[in-house]
Amino acid sequence: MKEVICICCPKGCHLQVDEEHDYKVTGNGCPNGLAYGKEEITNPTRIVTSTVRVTGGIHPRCPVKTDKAVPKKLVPAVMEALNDIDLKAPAAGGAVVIEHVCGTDANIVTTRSI
Amino acid sequence: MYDVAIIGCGVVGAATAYALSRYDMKVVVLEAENDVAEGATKANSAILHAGFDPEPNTSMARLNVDGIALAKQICDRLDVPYKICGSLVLALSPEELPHLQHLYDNGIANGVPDIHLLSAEETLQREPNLSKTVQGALWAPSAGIISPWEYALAMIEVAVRNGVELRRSCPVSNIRKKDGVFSVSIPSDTVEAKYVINAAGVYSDKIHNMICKPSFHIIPTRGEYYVLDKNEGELVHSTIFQCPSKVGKGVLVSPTVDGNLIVGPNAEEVGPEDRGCTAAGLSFIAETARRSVPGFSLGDSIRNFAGVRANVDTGDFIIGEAPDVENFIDLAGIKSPGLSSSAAIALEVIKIFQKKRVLPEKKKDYKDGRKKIHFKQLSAEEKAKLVHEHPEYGRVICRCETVTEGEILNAIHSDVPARTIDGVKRRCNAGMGRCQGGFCGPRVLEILCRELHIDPLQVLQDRDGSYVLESETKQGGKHHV
Ligand SMILES: Cc1cc2nc3c(=O)[nH]c(=O)nc-3n(C[C@H](O)[C@H](O)[C@H](O)COP(=O)(O)OP(=O)(O)OC[C@H]3O[C@@H](n4cnc5c(N)ncnc54)[C@H](O)[C@@H]3O)c2cc1C
Ligand code: SF4
Repeated sequence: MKEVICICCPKGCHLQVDEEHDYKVTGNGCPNGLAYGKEEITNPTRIVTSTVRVTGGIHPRCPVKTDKAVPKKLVPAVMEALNDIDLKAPAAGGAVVIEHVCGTDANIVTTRSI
Repeated sequence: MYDVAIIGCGVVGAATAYALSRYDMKVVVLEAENDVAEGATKANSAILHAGFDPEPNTSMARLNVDGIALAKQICDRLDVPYKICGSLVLALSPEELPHLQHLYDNGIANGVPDIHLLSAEETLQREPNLSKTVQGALWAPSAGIISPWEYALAMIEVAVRNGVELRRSCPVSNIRKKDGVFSVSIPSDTVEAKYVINAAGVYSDKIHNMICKPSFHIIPTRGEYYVLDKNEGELVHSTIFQCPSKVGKGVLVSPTVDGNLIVGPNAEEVGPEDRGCTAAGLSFIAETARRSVPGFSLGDSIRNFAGVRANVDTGDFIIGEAPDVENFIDLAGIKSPGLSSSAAIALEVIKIFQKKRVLPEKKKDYKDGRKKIHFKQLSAEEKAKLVHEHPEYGRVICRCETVTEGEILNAIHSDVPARTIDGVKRRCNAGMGRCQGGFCGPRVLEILCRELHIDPLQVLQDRDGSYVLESETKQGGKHHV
C-alpha cells in the first residue's frame, strides 16, 4: 500500500494505492483521483515549467513549459535540453521552442510573448 | 594627515562625527563593515530609555537623561522617525512593588522628568491589553521609540555633507604612535591622525588593546527578538517593561516607529559575531513577554533577529582619554542605554577637546538639517504633484511599506549611499514589511545594478560575502531557435 497526495485539484485528497490489487485507489474524492493514483505509482508524469535564455528580448529569460505531462524520469533530460536553448526574440506566447522534447509527444512552449 | 580618526560607525561613532563636523577639523571615520550602523546599532530594542534604570551618579545615568533630550532635537532636525510614547515598568506581583519604588527613586535622582507611580487601575486604563495580574507601574512619559539605524545614518550623512570622510570596508588591524601621531592600519593603507576615537562596539576592547594597556574586557551579550506584523502594532501604545525577576530581566513589548510590535530581548553571553537566533531563546522571550502582555500572536511574527551588546566587566560606560596613551579616546563598553545616550556621549568628546584646549573654531558654512521624502506620508495632492514632476515616485517597488522607486534612488545616491539590498532597506524601508523583501528584493537588486553599473551576481544582501545570486541559469545557449 502506497500513500500519495492527489495533485489534480486543491482539495489534495490523501490516496492509498494498493499495488497488490491492480493499483486500487481509495481515499479519492472524485474519479480524477482514481486515474491519478494509479498513474503516479505505475508511470508518474509531470508538466515541466522552467525558462530559456533569450537574446534580444526585454528580459534575459522567457518562461516555458511542456504542453503535456512528460514521464517524471525524463525531467532531468528535459532540463538539459532547455539549458541549451537560445531563443531569439521576438517570440509569441505559446510559440513552440522544442518539438517532441526528448522523444516524447510533448512540445516546449513559451508562456508569454517576448 | 587627519586631526581625528574615529574607529567604528555605529550610532556612537556617527554621533561623534556629527558633533565634530561642526568644527574646523579634518575627521575620518573608519568602519569595518561595508555599511554604517551594522553592529549593535541595527539590532536592539530601539527604545529611548527615560533614564531611571542606571544607578545614580554613573556616566550612564547622566548621559542617558541628557542623551534622549538631545536625541529628540536631533531627530526633529534630521528627519529621523521617533515617537515619545512613554514607558511603563510593571509590577506583576505585590513583591515587585518595592522595586518600582526603587526605580522611581533612581529616576528622581537621575533627573528623569515627570515620572510617577500608577495604581493597577490607572495602569490598565492606560494599557487595557496588559495582564490582569498587574499590581502597579512606573510611568515615564519622556521615554520613546526611534529608528536606530536611521538615527545613526542621519548623523553620519550630515557629517559627510560637511566634510567628514567616511571610509567603509576598512577594518582597523593595528594602531601605532610615533612623535605624537597615530598610524592606524587598514587593509592596504595607513591612516595618520593626531587623535584616535575608539567607538568599535563589541570590539572596543580589541581596539583599546592595540595601543593601550588592557584595562577592561567586553562581554558580548546577545539579545534575540520577534518583530510582529502591523496588525499587532496597536496591542500596546507605550513600551512595556517588567521588573527583573528570576524568569527574566528586560523582556519588553513595545510598538515600533513603523507600527509593528517588537518583543524581546533575552540576554546570553556569546561571541561577538554570534547574531543568530535560537529556539530556546525565542521561546523564553515569548513566554516571559506573555506575563505582561498575554495577547500577542506569534503567528504574526514577520522577522526574528539578534543583536550583541558590548557589556563590560567594569560596569559603567568607559568614556575618556586612555590614562596611558595621550590623545587616544575610548567610547567603549557602550551597552544599553547606548543608543539613548549617544548624542550626549558625542558631547563628552567635545568637552575633552575643550579641556585640552584643542577645539578649533566652528565652521562658518556648516549645513545642518536633513529632509527626506516619505511618499506614503504625503497627501493625495502632494503625491500627485510629485509623481507628475518625478515619475519615479509613481512606481511603488515595496508594496508592503509603499516605498517608491524615487525613494530607493534617493537611498542609492545619498551622502552615505546604499550599496546593498539591506542598505536600501535601512535607508527607505523597502523590504521592511510583511513579506520581508520577498517581492521587492529582486526589483531592488535590478535598480542597484542599473544605478551602480554592476552585474547582478555582484549584488550583496548585506555584509561582505552575502551574495544574492550564485550564478546564471541556462548557460548552455548553443542551440539557437
Ligand atoms: C539587544 C540589544 C538591545 C538594546 N536596546 C537598547 C535600547 O532599547 N535603547 C538603547 O538606548 N540602547 C540599547 N542597546 C544598546 C545600543 O544598541 C548600543 O549601545 C549602541 O548601538 C552602541 O553603538 P556603538 O556605536 O557603540 O556600537 P556599534 O553599533 O556596535 O558600532 C560599532 C562599530 O564599530 C565597527 N568596528 C568594530 N571593530 C572595528 C575595527 N577593527 N575597525 C573599524 N571598525 C570597527 C563595527 O563594525 C560597528 O559598526 C541595545 C543593544 C542590544 C545589543
Ligand atoms: S481525488 Fe478528486 S477531489 Fe480529491 S484531490 Fe484529486 S481531483 Fe481533487
